[in-house]
Amino acid sequence: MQNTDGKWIIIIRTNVGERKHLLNEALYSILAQTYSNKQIVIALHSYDNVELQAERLEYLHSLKYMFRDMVDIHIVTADTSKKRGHPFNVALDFVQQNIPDCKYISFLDDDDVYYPVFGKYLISKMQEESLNFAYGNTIVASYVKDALGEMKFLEKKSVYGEIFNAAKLVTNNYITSNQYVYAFSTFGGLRFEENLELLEDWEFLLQMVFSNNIIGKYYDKDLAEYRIPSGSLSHSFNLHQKNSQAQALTFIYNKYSLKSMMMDYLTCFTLCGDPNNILGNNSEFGSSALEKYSQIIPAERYYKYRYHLVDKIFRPFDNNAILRFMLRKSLAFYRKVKRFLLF
Amino acid sequence: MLKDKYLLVMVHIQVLLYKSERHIENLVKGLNILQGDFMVHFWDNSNEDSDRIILKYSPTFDYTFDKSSINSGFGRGHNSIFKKYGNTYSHGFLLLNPDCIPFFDSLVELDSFVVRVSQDKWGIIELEQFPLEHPKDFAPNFEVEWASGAAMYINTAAFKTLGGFDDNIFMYCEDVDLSWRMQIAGYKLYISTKSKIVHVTQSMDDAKSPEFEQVYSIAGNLYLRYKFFGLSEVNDYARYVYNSPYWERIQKIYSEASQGLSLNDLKNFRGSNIKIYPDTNYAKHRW
Repeated sequence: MQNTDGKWIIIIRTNVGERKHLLNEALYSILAQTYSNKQIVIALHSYDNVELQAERLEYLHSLKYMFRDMVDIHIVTADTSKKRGHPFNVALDFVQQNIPDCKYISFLDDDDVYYPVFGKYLISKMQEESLNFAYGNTIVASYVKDALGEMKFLEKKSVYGEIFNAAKLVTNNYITSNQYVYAFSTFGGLRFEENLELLEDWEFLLQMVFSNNIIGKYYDKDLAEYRIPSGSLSHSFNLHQKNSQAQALTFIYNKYSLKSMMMDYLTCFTLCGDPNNILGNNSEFGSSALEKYSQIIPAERYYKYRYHLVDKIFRPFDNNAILRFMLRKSLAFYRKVKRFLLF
Repeated sequence: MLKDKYLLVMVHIQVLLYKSERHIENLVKGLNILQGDFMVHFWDNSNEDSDRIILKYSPTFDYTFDKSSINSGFGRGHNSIFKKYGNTYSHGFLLLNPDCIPFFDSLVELDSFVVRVSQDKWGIIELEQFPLEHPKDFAPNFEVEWASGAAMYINTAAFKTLGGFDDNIFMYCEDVDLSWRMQIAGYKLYISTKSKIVHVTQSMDDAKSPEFEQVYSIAGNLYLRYKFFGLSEVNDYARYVYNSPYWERIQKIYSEASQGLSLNDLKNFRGSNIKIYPDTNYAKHRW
């Protein structure tokens, strides 16, 4: 029987705005959760229209009152002048001070939804396998608006769903913020970087990785949905976003380039291959263990994937000296890590 | 909302229960915050005293409670409720599965949609399922080819004229059958995408039996093919499903159901111009 002793807090970041109907869906996706011991913290962040803050707050309180018999909702307000990570931090501070029995945390943007078994499935896996971080698949749902202004979904596919690899997470964010649950007892002190306009969610995961405490696992189960307008996945950033991304990447590099992290034994093989066939000789999968072992990405494929990804991000910036410099530094960092592991 | 003859004056909601204890809390609490005037008619097909459970969650809405000594299935169960209370219904009534939670504004939005289609001869307006919407397509004017019985607002007069759900079907596909008969009778079917209900489907509910759904869905499918298209369609589909481990059971259910059809029934339904997808009931491109 499922142990629901651990309180699960879901933090929703919203500015309300023209997204009330989306926020309603996010809330109902939490109400529909089959895990019963849960509460919601809504962090209001009216960065786009400070004048409407009071009106939006009133709307949130009306929702809180309306849903009072179904779930406890707490509302916190974030400083409108601060960036994306700040509302999450306000919510996390609130949880730390006011919900002492919080055991699990997850995040949800106001335009995304969970599937009903999201919480129960991941939390039960964390309990069974002594994990402090667990995630499943996020479905990317692309939509157009119908004549009533509602989302009409054209396609839903699993884009974000990969095995947990802490090393890969260092160079590539493949876990979305609505995809995971983590243990508050382990990571309760972590906070989002408030200087970042982009990639603050990735940086938060890096904090977990470099804490050297993360025990994470991926489960191949569709658990959440990330909704985007049709065609937007292929859109490139505008100039402001490109600059923000560049700044974020520089920040991340500067913060972590001298840090070290622990890596589990098997992950090392994903980076450097298995030239001595250690896995082959010692695992149930035999000589092709590196290929067959479901938790491992062969180093050669990983290397090629990484360069492909770097190429994809940086190709538009061929003439950008700063980003070329960063790319060189990233490669140098990778070689250092590789040399360190081989010792 | 209560001003015009097309609007939802007092919505009667039919909820058929069967061993639904685990769903009742969310359902009652969801109904407690549902905006609009409505009355709920609960009918327990498992002959259990689920009214105790309903009361436990302090319903703030008006409701009736009945129970049946035998499990008559979805269609017959709803027909029973309609038989008892239907003469008090207005222009339409709502069917709601117990594993659904209506959004607080779903009736208000339904009201708007009814106004939108009020000049059309509408038969059923389906409420949109959330978070996984029913995997079928709909036209830009929101017409659909069939409506899911999980949450559907039915034209009372049309339902009465057509004799309600087909008594030969125990469960699954009776909503498709009603939809097709509505089409044959010239009624349009719609989906109101702003009227949402949370529906915890089998894929999201470990407690639901996939075997049960598979058996009755396939049997229902065979029955519909026999009723509306003939034996060649039955055989065409049977080729794909006869390998099912439950084939014997499926055959039995299908045979018993199809024996309930008279020659007159078959004459009325076969050869009609029902819009269905050529190779599947669902819109592939959406999934």
